[in-house]
Amino acid sequence: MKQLSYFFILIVLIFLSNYTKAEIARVVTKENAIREDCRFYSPVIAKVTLNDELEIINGQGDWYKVGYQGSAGCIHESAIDKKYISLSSIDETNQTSTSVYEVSLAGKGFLNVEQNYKNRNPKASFAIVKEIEDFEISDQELTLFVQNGKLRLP
Amino acid sequence: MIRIVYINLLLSLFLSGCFTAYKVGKAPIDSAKRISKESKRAKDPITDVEEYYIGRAVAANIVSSYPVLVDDELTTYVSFVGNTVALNSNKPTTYGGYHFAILDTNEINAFASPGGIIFITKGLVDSLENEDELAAVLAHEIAHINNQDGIALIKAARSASAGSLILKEPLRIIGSITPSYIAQLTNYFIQSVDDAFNTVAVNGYSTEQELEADKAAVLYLSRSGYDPSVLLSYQMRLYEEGQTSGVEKMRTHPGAFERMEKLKLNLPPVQVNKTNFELRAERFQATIE
Repeated sequence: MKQLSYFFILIVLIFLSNYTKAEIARVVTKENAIREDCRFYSPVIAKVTLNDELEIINGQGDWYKVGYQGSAGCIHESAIDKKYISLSSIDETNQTSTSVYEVSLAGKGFLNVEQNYKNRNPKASFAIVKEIEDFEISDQELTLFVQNGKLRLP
Repeated sequence: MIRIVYINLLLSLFLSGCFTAYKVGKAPIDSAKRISKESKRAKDPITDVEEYYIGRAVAANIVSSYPVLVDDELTTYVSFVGNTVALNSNKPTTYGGYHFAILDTNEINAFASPGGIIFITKGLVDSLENEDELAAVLAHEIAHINNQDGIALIKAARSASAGSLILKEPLRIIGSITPSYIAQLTNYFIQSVDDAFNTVAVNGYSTEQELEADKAAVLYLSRSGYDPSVLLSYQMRLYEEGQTSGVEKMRTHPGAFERMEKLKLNLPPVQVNKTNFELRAERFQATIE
């Protein structure tokens, strides 16, 4: 009888496991970083890009501890969308989706739109904008700048 | 005993099957709900991605009017100050990140393209006396980005009319982005960029938006460790110089007198470490010269 109960519990657990999913969030910035500690300019564990899926482990102030490709680290709340449903399981949840709308625009939609805009406005200097966007400052240099100026980072 | 095992097994399978059937039956209803919600989004505030693309186009128009100063040392310095303040703002991360550039003109002005590209003019840099003033100017522009002031007109227009894009929403959801949809979106995009460009670079913001940006800037400066009171002293100096010369400074930032009066009331009683202030002022001078 005891063995039978264990067997029954096992089956129920297997059944439940199919319907218990970890909370998933999506990266909403073009690129970002999973950091060792929950603060800006902490060492980077992994680079993430738009729409990468992260598993939420817990919240720590304005930050989330997340899992990504086998490693765990921190990402700022403004870089992720928690009200996200995976595109692979789009009909398996009744959560509010903010993702599909943005995904379509971020992908083919807006790239085409921007190209059309460039064609109609040849004087608009997108090449210079790209140079501005590509101008980078390093994490270490900024940290040093903040320290030397007796300033603060969150 | 074996019968009980079978009954339990069948019960589990039955329950599992019920759940699957419930899910399958529920899926179209959820889809419909989701599409309905997505359609409503067309009236919602503009998404970060949209804001980014609109901001890029606004920036592309600004740099077609003003040449960008090629000075890596100064641009790096401005980026250090700007990023320090941005990270202490209410929105430390934007879709495309914060970027800073200097426009090669003697005009004194600053522009915040929606999404995070911020321009200050060389004339403005020359009018500054120390790093904290530079931080104050950038904090004010970062606040405009945080508050989405550059796209306020677009948001208002979108709220007033749902627009024909809603009709195409289901097509977008299933990924069928047709050429006619792109053409429609392009027209909508052009109109949005025009509205944002006019706000950011031509007409300027409303006095109310300026007051809110000042209020937020004070907060970001305090969090960063900069002296928030320089936001007021810098504005007062510009205002007085403008009164003397008869030339209005920062023409896209109206309501100077009212702003200063409000700022006086909003400034927190912050004890500024003078040694640290001077230390930053020295590195400012070293970079500018």
